[in-house]
Amino acid sequence: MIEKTVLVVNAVGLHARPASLIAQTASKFSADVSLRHGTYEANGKSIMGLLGLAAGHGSEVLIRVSGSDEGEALAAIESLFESGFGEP
Amino acid sequence: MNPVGEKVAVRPRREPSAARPARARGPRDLRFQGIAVSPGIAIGRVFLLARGEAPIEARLLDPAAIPREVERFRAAVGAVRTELRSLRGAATRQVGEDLARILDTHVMLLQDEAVIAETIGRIQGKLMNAESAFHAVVEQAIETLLSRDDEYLRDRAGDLRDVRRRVLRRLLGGGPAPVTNLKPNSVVVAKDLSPSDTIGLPIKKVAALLSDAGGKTSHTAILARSLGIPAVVGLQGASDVLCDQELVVVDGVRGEVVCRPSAKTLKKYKLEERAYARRETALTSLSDQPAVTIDHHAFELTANVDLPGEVELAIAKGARGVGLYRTEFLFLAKGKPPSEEEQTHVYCSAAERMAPEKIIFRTLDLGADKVFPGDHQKEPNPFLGLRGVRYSLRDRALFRAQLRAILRASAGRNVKIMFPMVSGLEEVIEARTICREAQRELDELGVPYDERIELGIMVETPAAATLAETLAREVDFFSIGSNDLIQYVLAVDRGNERVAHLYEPLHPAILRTVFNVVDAAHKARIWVGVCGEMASDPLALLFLIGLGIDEISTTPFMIPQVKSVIRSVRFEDLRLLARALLKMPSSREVRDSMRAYVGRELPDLKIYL
Repeated sequence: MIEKTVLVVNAVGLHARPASLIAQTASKFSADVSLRHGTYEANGKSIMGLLGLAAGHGSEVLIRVSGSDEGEALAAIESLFESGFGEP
Repeated sequence: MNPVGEKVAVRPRREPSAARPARARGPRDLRFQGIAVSPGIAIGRVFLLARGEAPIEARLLDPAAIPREVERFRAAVGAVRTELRSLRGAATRQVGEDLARILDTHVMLLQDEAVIAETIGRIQGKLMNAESAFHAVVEQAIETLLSRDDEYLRDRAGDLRDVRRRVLRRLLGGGPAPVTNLKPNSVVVAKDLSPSDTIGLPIKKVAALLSDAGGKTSHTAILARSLGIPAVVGLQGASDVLCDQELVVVDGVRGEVVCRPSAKTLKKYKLEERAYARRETALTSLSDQPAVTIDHHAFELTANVDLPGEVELAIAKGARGVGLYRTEFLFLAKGKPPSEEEQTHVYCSAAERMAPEKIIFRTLDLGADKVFPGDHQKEPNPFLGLRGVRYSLRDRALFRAQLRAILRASAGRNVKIMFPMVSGLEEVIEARTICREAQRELDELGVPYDERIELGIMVETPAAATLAETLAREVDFFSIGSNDLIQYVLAVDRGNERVAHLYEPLHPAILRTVFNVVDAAHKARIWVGVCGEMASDPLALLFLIGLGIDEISTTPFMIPQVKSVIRSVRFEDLRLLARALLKMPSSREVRDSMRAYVGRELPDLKIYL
């Protein structure tokens, strides 16, 4: 199991579109992905779960991945956060 | 009583539901106050949009039936996907791509593999039928979103309910959403209108939209505005009281709905409906024109802005700046204070959009009816409690962060700061000191800001109005917050229906108080504006013009009307009128003599009365 804390940098935060991008990306891997924001935790492959993280701009989110392709999965999701999901 | 919560929905007595035939007898002119989100006047017949979900029958499956049940579920999801896609296509054509995007969450739910997998898991593992399995899975997601106390997520919960309803309808053997057999000129009434409901309506037959739930930010509000349909939301309980086919009047400018109108009310609104249509045509041509009287006295006409998105609306309506930018929304929407960076980002983009015109940021006006969800300390009398600048002076870290964010936005832009609920000199001095501290902190970081930024105060307590002469020496401008000022001076809570009739902007005490404030400002050579709804009352507006107030800030929708009044009067005449009014002993005399004056001198303005 590996984990990493990332920052939500896009202005609107983890809204519907970013949540959908994360879930799509996470679903490409066999590893289990979970995200944590404060006391909220969500399955990284569930759009609705990710929305429920209520992670606004500037929030810290902990990504946890475990499974055979965990390294690649974490890198892919991390880069989504870094790019601000392609949003301002 | 407070800007954000100022339209208090009054819940009328609820009639027992058994006594609700199609034409219920009951009192005439039953009025509801809601939140005006899309302007216009409409008179039409109620169409109650039934939104109840069909009861779900929970069945235990025969294990042999599992594959068929899974197949049935997948088919329903597929059908609704197609349905939503065509709805989204229609929406793009009707209202454009930007607004059509609001249906994306709907589509996303059905693409959420976790939701699909979990539903199928329940069908297979718990032998639940598809209806109850899907209902339960979506319910869980809805509850999670609702528990987050976030306006955006709350709206998304509404989206989920909407999609669920569509899927369940398919599962129960129904077709696509019934395209309602709407008659022309229908006033569509619902507990909660989902965006897809709104888009799915035959728009040409819809006279107005009403809903019990919702706020200014709801998508329905945004959609109604872009479709040009009058809409009032936040009408708690109205859908329980209104009956199908009943005649109602909708005033989307004031947020008022009159059910079972009397002949007199009906006549009044019929005139108003026609006048509104005429006016809209005439007013659209005004947006580029300056707000000057016939005898060339100019006024600064600016907008009150609640939400970041309203800056665009303000510009479209012809505002030359923002006279009141309410910052509460940013704090309340999230349920916790936004970070300094987040605030800077929002303030910068608003100021940038308004540049080179000014934008006045009012520091946090929390307290009273606007508190953080976690802050449950009940005050026995919140409107006389810890609110406005008092709140900010208690939570200095929060205050300083906000001031730094506004200062950052001021670099190279036309930004001003205003403090709410000031009741004495000490508060002004303290607030100013903290602002200087914030400036020094930015200096240390080398962050640029406007060093000559203007600091002003809201004049909304009787104390501040009485002390106007003293306070005018300490600040760069005044902005009269008429809503609170009137309530505090007259000791009337206008949300309380037993005394609301006593709320009177033309009360002699109000006229004299406002005069005192304007006079004190001008003697001290500072400018003074008004940012309450007083300017939306055409008679009160004439008085304010006559006082020579410098700036008038109003809700964006009212700007064209205020401008057209300004452009059709002579300042010199109104100055004399205002003087005469100040001597009058009662509001009745004030109103009567103003009506007579308008009838005699300004016949063009009679449509506003």
